[in-house]
Amino acid sequence: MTAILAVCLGLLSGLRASDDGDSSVAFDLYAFRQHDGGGDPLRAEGFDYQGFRVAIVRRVDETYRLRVNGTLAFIDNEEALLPPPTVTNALTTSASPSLLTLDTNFTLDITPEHSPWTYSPGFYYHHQIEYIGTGLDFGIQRELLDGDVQVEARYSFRWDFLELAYWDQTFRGNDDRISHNTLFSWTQNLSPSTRGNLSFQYTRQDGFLSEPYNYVTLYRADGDPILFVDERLPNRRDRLQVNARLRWSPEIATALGLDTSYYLGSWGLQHAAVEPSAETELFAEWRLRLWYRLSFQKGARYFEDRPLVSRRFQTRDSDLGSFFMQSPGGTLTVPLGSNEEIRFSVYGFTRDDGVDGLGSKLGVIFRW
Amino acid sequence: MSRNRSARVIVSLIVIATLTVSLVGGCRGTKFFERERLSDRSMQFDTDDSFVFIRNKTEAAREGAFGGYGAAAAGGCGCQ
Repeated sequence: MTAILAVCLGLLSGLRASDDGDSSVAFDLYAFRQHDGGGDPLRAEGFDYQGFRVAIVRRVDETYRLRVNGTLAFIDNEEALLPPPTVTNALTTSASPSLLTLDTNFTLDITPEHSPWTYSPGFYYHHQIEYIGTGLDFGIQRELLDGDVQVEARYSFRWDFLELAYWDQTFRGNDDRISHNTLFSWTQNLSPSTRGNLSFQYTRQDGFLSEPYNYVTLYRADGDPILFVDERLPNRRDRLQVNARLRWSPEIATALGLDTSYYLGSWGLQHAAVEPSAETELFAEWRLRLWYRLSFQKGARYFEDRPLVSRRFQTRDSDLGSFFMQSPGGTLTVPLGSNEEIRFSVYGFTRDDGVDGLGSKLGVIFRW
Repeated sequence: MSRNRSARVIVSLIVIATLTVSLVGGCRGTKFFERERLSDRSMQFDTDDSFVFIRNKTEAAREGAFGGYGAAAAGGCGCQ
């Protein structure tokens, strides 16, 4: 992380900067806790996540803008549960212990002279124990109708490499996963006080899509758990998502929003969400944005709560099951000066399957 | 509210919002001098990239239905 930051800072300091106020550096601290009050009763699903992120935007000149960010996070998983004595093939299970993760993105925005187009190539790298993710991104966008419309298309390629360390403490070699993600977005000023956005996202994944640490408990007809078996999922997944977003401003510095999304996947999983939000100025340019997200998920066809037999594909991962989720949150933005501000966010979610979480973020941004 | 009723309400709101954006998209545009409110930060859909990042990380490591407003799917982080 330090090396990457050093490279970024060295690279940035060597470039000639313009002073049009389009450059910034932001530092953020994250803390999040997922509490397991339900979900799979025989699997610990809680964890703590603490992270530190640096994001740099550097306007080099009229043509080039560089965006770099890196996040270092520490994840502390809840201790694995002891299997009940009726389970005959496991004395203990393993979850990945405490671990560090690193996420980095490098993107260069290129707007050729006299061109209405902006091109954004980039690359991505993720590192953690037993898992490395690599990727390339490419985006293109332009304004239409004198700036009333902004259209954007983006493609991301991800190639992930996994070491298959399983829940039963066996190691079964290596595998990989390839993901293609495309996004088409249309944003339009609908009136002097209203803005709308429609976007479509398609994702295709091929490769190893199960989680080695996940297991499925098989039960006897009388309800006792008797065996743990591997989670097994197809090696291909297609997902299509539609998003519609609206914002309306009754007066300057105040706005109401409504975000919605619907998602359908080839595993039979569907997810629909709606998120009303409101932002206003409190005093002295302090800004408060609040939101309340409601979502419903219909689980994947391979999800079974208490299976009696082993099947070709099956999972008991609560994230692939059915649930109703409520997720409120808020962000307070406090200016420190003309070009600096502090941003503090609190958010949480609760699901009716007993899994919930609470998180916060504290950040500061400097612009020049 | 039952799960089914919640799902119906959410899907209805999504349809309404989608139709609204689609239909109102035919409205007249705005003049440059009419964009004071539109240019205010309160009209941005996402004001804080770093917050979008953490919500994606913690709420949607696997099912991927959160947001979807531009984050690429890395296919699950294998965190747990």
